[in-house]
Amino acid sequence: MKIYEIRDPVYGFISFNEWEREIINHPAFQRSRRIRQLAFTDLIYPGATHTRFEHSIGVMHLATKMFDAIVQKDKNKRILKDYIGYNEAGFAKDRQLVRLGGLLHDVGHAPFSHASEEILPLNAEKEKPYKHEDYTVAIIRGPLKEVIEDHKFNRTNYNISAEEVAALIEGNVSILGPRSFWKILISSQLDADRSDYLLRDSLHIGVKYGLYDIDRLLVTLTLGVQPKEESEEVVLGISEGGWHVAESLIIARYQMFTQVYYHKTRRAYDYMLKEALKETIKCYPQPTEIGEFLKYDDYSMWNLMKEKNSEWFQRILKRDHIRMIAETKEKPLREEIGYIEQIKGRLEEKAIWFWEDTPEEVKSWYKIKEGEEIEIIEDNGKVSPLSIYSTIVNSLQRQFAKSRIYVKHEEKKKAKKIINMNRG
Amino acid sequence: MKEMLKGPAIIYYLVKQLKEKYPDKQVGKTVIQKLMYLFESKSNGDFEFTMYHYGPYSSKVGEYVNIAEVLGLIKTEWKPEKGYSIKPSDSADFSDEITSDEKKIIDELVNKYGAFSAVELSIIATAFYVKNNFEVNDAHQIVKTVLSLKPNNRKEWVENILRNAGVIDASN
Repeated sequence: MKIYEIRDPVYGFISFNEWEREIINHPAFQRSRRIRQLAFTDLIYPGATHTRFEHSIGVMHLATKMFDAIVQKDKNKRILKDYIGYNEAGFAKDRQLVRLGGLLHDVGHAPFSHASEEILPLNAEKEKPYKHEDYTVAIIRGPLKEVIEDHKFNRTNYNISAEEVAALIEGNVSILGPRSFWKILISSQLDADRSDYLLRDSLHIGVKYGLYDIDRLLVTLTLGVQPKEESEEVVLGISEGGWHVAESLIIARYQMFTQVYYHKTRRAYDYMLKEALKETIKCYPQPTEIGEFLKYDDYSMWNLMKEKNSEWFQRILKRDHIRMIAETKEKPLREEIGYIEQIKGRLEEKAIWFWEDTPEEVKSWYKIKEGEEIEIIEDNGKVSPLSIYSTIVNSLQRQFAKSRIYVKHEEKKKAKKIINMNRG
Repeated sequence: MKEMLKGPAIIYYLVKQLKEKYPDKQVGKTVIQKLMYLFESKSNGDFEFTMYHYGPYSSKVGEYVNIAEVLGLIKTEWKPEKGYSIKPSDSADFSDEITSDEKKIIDELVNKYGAFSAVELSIIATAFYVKNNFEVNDAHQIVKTVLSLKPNNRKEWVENILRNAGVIDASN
């Protein structure tokens, strides 16, 4: 089996085998080269032009390192053998499954990543819009099925099916059973996805906010079991001696969220891009028409938006963004919430266009999940939440809920005047 | 923005009803997560639950628990050997933030599922999730899937829980 290497700006060299190379070279995966990780963030931070392609390869690499860090500890191996019934062959197969899950976890992203999720169509059965994960599993089960299943390296050694890779991503326990445990490396409070994008986004943007000690994190990853009254489940966490690295990871997430992802001008362009996309096409094809969906990427959508030449697109071209005129504190009081409602009422009264931004959507995109705890695991296996150890984390997990009101550039002065009148 | 108070208010009402009906019950984060999954199924809400080896989990619900605590609606305590113990606050009341329909759903859930332990609720919510999302409708397959995740439990015990919870028919 031939091994290839690629140079990665975060980790140095990343290795992959010839089977993985064929998957990477498949057009459905190559499309991720044409989907930017952070949409139009480069209008604020010019370095932010990186794509889902390098992030996906980074997640494959980091998920593997996490898997190895867990499995190489005898204590963890015992837990996994008792709980899931692994033998060495089982570990080898699922190490490869985790690599593929990491590599393909974002393959179903719509153009400009999250910014265009609002034009994903409605899932009539569930009466909720589709999510990019629905497209990811449709691509894995469809266009990528053959290249995943038919390579001789897979057939001889692992026999991993496309269905298993999709099941890992969607957490389909009816297919993977207890092996779905490894989903925690793809999506959880300690996953390779978030751990990678914090480092990668920081590097490309040129900020230091998202940096933390990844080597220390890997060394301290371990398993434990929750108390019986809570759930008695096996959990991934950080060994007690390493709780400060878990703390620094939470601080990095908070800093990246407040300084980059929820940056007031970056959010303005997320909104404008979303509106320009909505004016260009009604919605993307359903996951059942996956071949059609795959035709859409940043390049093709850019061309379609250019043809349509809507008001929002013209504003993007001129970097004429909407302007923020009011915001609450990070943890608003009830009175502040009332004040924002008052401003909205006055703007409506004077027929001034406005947009209210709340962090719910963007927190969901970047998985800034204040409700998720990192578990700290003592040598005896006892599990406690990080917030018991760290007063900083305890404080940071108390809900960022800043709300902002934006108006069009040309109406900023008028709107400000109305707000001040309102205050008086 | 006002709707941001709804989630924490639902958590508060759920905890309050649970503790009123079952004063000695330990209400931890697992109990809340699993009952909120059942609430989502019945109310057509969207708390973005996803499936893990330990059952459905929503970080949105986790956030609502945190906000409810910040707003003084609930009190959360961590006990090293037992996990979380969550109680409603005596002073605050945000019940008017939620509708009578939502209250009715919560009341029904508390009546029907409130007596189950965290581990039992985890089994019930997992079975419902598998039915709702992965098209596993056959009782035998549901039990098999749950058992594969909880290998240390007896089949009869799991079947009994799922029957009592109405996930599978009494005839199975």
